[in-house]
Amino acid sequence: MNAASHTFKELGVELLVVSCDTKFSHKRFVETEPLLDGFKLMMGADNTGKMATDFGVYLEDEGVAIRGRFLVNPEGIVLAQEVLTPPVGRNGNEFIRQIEAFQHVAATGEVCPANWRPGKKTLPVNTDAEKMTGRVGDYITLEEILS
Amino acid sequence: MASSLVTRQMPEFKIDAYDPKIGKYTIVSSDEYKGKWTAICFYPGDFTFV
Repeated sequence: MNAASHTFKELGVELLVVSCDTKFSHKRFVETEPLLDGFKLMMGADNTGKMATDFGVYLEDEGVAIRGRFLVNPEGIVLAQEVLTPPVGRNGNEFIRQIEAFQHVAATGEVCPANWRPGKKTLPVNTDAEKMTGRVGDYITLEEILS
Repeated sequence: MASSLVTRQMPEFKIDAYDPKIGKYTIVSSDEYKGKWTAICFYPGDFTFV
């Protein structure tokens, strides 16, 4: 996530990383882990596990948070979440794709079909829902979706 | 515990934090993220990979 932090900045997204460690542990971690050289993201210390519990990602028996990531819009609504068990890391590129799509929807009202990325075809705004039901293929082809 | 927060208001929080940008301890709360696009990423613990 740190490697992608420039992109998050460009997209105007505030990034907060959280574990159930203490703030002292966070500091030590940043100072010792070579991969965190230049790490600049705010690190939340949810020592009690309350925040992780409220987000539904707290493993009570182990006292740790599982890998949950949440995208929240300026109105405070959670638009997307992904939760992985600890052994597998996340894909920052997919998260960025989702942010770009949600921001595009927020800005235009258009709808982003599967595999959408900036520059690809969207589905039209204010289309008569009944007209499109079962006829999405009239608006976009499978080739366009898979390209 | 909610199985999914999607479409819901983000839960409020106020917790200790470390800000590596300035190398100082601080506090972060959900209030600071009001009006902003925000990504919150949980990870199992320091000294694992983020």
